[in-house]
Amino acid sequence: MKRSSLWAGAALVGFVVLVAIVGFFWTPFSPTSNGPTPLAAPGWPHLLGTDAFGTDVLSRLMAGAKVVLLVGVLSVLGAAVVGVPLGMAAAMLPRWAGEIPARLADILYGFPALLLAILFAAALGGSTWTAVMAIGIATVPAFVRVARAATLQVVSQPFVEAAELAGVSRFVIAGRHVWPNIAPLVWVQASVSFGIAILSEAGLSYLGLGSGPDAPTWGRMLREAQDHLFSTPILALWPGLAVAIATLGFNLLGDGLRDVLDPRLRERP
Amino acid sequence: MRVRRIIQLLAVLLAAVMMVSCSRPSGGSSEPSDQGAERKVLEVGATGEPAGMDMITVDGAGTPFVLLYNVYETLVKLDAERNVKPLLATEWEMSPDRLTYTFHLDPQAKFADGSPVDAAAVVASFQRIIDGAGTGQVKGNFAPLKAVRAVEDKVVELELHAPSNYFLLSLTTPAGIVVNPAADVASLNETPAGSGPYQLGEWEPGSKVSLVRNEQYWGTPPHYDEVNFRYYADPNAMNTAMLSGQLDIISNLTVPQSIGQFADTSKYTVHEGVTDGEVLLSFNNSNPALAKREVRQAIHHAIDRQAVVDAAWGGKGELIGSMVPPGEPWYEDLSDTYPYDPEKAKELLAQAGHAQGLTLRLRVPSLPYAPPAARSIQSQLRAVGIEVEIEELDFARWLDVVFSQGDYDMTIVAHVEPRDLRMFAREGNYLHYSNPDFDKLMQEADEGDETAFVEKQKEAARLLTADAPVDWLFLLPNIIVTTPDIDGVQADQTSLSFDVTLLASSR
Repeated sequence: MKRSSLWAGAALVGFVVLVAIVGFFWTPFSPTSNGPTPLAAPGWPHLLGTDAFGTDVLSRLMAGAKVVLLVGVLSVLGAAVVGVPLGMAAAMLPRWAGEIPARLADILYGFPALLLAILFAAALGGSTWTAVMAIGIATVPAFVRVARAATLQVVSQPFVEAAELAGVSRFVIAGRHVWPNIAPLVWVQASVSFGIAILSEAGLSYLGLGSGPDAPTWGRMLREAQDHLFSTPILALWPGLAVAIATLGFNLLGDGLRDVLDPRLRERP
Repeated sequence: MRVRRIIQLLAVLLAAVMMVSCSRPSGGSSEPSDQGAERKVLEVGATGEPAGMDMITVDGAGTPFVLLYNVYETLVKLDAERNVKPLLATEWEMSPDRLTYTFHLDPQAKFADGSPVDAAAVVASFQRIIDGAGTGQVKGNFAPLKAVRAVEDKVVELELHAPSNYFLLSLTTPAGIVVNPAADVASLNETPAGSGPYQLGEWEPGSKVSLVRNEQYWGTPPHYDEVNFRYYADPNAMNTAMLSGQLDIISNLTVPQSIGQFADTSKYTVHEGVTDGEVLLSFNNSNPALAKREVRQAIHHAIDRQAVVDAAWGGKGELIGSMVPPGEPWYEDLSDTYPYDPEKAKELLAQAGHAQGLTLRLRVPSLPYAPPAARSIQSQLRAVGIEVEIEELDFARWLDVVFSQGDYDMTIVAHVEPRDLRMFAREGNYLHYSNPDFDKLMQEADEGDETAFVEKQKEAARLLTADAPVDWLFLLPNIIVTTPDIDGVQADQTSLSFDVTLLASSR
């Protein structure tokens, strides 16, 4: 019972990853070519039907999973690589110096990913990379906060003080003593951020600020479906369902990981 | 904590499902009726917002859409049948050498502040453009004008450099508005000063422009006391507003796929007309590959235009094949010039030395028709070996990068200016296109007599189609939805104005 969300999350994420991997190598039809039967209802050979261009919806969903995972991995990885060292520095530096990254992160919290994406899109044009950058930057503060809070707890432990007194450099302390202790929390944060990143990516490409019209993404599919909401409403169901499944999966996985990895929770009887 | 998040996520899931079953608001168009004063208010839904209120200096179709003929008046106006009709001028003559026009102003005509519309006001307005003010389009329209003189208090004389058949039409465009000379030119971008039946009321950028009745109006007073243009970034939101009774008119339905929502004739009247908006797949004619006519013609043969209209615009929209919309005297159906023939396209590409294929950037503005048309075209061109990379730009950025700087290979945009065949003769056009033969024909048409005007333009349009500097995808339809009580709706969008002075309600 305790690990049910971990397994449910892992199963959903595994499913999405599997679909993305299969979609990378093979889709039933071309995900970007026009087809002869536009707006076909679900059936055979188009299991989920076709859109206004006659493109197979299932193929587009499969190809879209790849983009979603790419944006998620890159933005979360980038945010963690920048945010975690900043958070550790904020906790380990002398008080006044540590305040700087911590407050910077607070300021960044004030900018929603959407606003950043609009700024980037205005300056650089909308693309997959714009979305990665905007989501990545907007995710950094979350990592700074988690890393700082966790590091503050670790550095007050006797073994860290002992290492300091023994003259071990701060970098070595950070790498050898702090990181292994905060890593589980970072993994949990990464999983939760991943879910948010997927949702943001869908939002951005829905608004036309993410990947271009040629990239089959779930957000773009939702946007295209909107024009047919009255005549062919089912077109909006599939990408909406895909976004919901992926986001749910990563959130459940994050919660499950927290139960398993968080030392504070683990110590409880 | 975790339970709550799961519930939240389930709610998201549920919302996605509910979005699909898009509930249609019930209840008719119950206008919030004003008690007592009985003010007649018209709510108009629109998509293209004005960037400013000075039509002379501000680009974009949003400004004349609201102001032309409603707030500002011109000497002559264009009616629904594309005829030039009197407005501020009651009558006019042309000298035998066709170089001088004499306009007699309506003696009743006065500005909203009560001062008369006299020859001096016309001189001041036109002299501003002769002196170099105005957008490229405004200056282009007034290029033939050499001088403007006040002959008498109510008689004004316009002298041209050369005879021009286009000039009278140019007077009906934003370039020809008569501005109150008492107004400070610098303030015109916030407060227009015209002689029309309406004045600008509230202007809330991003949501609405309100016009209120000019109590001093010199002509027939309009039916409505107040007209609110409400702007929607999302056309589907505009539809919803119409369905819930917040709007009386959708000035142009930009999601033709949704026309079925207004099928109930007891609640809605749908007017389907034409616009002058030719949707073009524009080529950068200075691109090394696109500079070759074979490549441009190959693209014409590679595109099934009906499929593009079906996918991008719900199948509404005529195929034109030239820059001339049906209804113009010099219109000819040239839509069969380049039948859909992928094999022919490959042959032409091979002739041009691109047998191994070609990669082109397609930079489109984020306007409703462009990204879907781009997607359809990308797939069709891939079939003949042309790889297309689509990039979607915000409209303001598109205007800068593509339209002003000309930095693109291909783009998709609608040209809505009336009679814009001459755009291809304009120097420094964003297509980087120039063809002396075409320029010569257009000049002969403009300066020749009426037969030459029609015949030479036919010839020019044919020449242009043969040269293929752009691909004419389709003509944007004009789909207006109103409540059934409104009449006077002009189905065809022939000028840049959304003329509300003719609208009336039987309610």
